[in-house]
Order: sequence, then structure tokens, then C-alpha cells
Amino acid sequence: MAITENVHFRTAPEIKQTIADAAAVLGLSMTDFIIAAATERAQTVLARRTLVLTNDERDRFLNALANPGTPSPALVAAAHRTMHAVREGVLNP
Amino acid sequence: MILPIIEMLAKHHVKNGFECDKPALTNYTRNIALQHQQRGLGRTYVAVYDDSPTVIGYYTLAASKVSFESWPTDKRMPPNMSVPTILLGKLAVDNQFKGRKLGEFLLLHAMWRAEQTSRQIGAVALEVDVLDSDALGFYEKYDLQVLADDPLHMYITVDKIRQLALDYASVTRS
Repeated sequence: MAITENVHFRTAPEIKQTIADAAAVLGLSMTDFIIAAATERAQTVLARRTLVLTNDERDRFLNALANPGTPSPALVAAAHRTMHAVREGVLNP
Repeated sequence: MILPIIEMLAKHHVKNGFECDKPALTNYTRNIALQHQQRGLGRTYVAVYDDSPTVIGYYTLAASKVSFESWPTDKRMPPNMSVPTILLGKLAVDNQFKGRKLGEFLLLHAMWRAEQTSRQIGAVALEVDVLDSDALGFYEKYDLQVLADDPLHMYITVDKIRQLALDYASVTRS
């Protein structure tokens, strides 16, 4: 990854000291420590986010669950292709 | 192209040479997938050849749910209960293996695994986090519907997947 962006922020002296102490324990610079900690937290948040549907979206979704219908011809064809590949041991010959 | 095997990502897999068009998906498999997996945030399944640890494609699943701003007043859903889904968070194919239907093979494998898993834990749909409009075009071909007005969330119902009668057991290592 290209390191091109700046992030600046201000904080209370006590918080800065706490971060500095923790970074020192791990032998990291404060910058590396903050980036690692924030990235880990960001990944967790992104991995765990829940989608909240509006009422219109909810009704469409619940309707599809109640009436799933049949798979589209294109999807059925894809299923036939992949199952054929599994049987023959060859993908897209 | 000889058929690859699908197995769970593990330490011995070689992924530093993995390269696809989307930097986020290249970075995920190289640097993040295993860490997420060890922390229980998801499971990544990789396509490899039987005699090689090199990752040529992958997908990532996690438990997920869909929630609502407000619940219907009729009996369609118990109040305050969210809907369990299985999330396909990532799917990518190495550039060297493009154009051989490996993406299709992986997507339908993910559908198969979601349907199998739903029998054990209950889930109504495979939900997909779509990266961008290129990916949207890909998923639309496989009957994935847009879930929210933000079109980067799509889904297919487990009932629909079941009708495909997929069976990948012979090319899957657990």
C-alpha cells in the first residue's frame, strides 16, 4: 500500500501518555501503534455490521422469503455447468 | 482447466502472490483473511490444486443478520427478531485464472455451503457484500437480488439455492 495520507488529531495529555506507554510495551512507535489498533477495530466493525432495512426494503425482502420462486434460467445453467465440471473433473474445458 | 479443490484457508497456503483487479480483495486474502479467521470473524475458503498450496481464488463467509427499522404489524416476523443470514463478504479469482469460470465455480460453492450450513444453524438467505458496480454485474447474472436501496447488498434465498441441487462434496476438503 502506498503511504500517502495524513491523519492529525488532538487529544488529552493523559490519553496520549496512556497510548505512549502501551506502544512502548510493544516496542512500537505511537504512530504504528495507533494505526494497528484503529485498523483492527475498523476491520471488526466492518466485519460485524448489520444491515437495517427500511420498511419498503423489508417488505420486498420478506415477500421474497415467503415466495422464493424458481432460480433464473441463467443460474440453473450455471449450476448445470459447475456440477458437470465436478463430475468430469474439468472446469470450462 | 483441471478442477481445483476447495478447502479452508490455513497457515500453509501461499497467498502473497495472489493478485486480482481489486486491491481491497488482493489485500484481504494476503493480509487479513487468516487474521479474521483466527478471531472468528469469518471463514475463508480457498481454491487450490491438489498438489500445490498456492491460492488461485477464494471466498469468505460469516454469520450475519438482516434487521429492520421497524417490524411489520402482521405475523410475518416475530417482533424485534432479526433474520439470520450467511454473509458472502468476499470473493475473488487470481488474474492468471480469469476467464475460466472459476468465479462462478466459487460462487456456487459458496451457495452450496450456505445451504448446507443453513440446515444446521438456520439461515434464510445468502447475503452478499458487493464491492462495486463491476461485482454487481457479476452477481446479477446469478439471480442475486438487490437487498437494500444501497445496491451493494444483494441476496439469494436458501430455498432458491436448494432447488439447484448442488453437490460439491467430492471437490471439498473440510
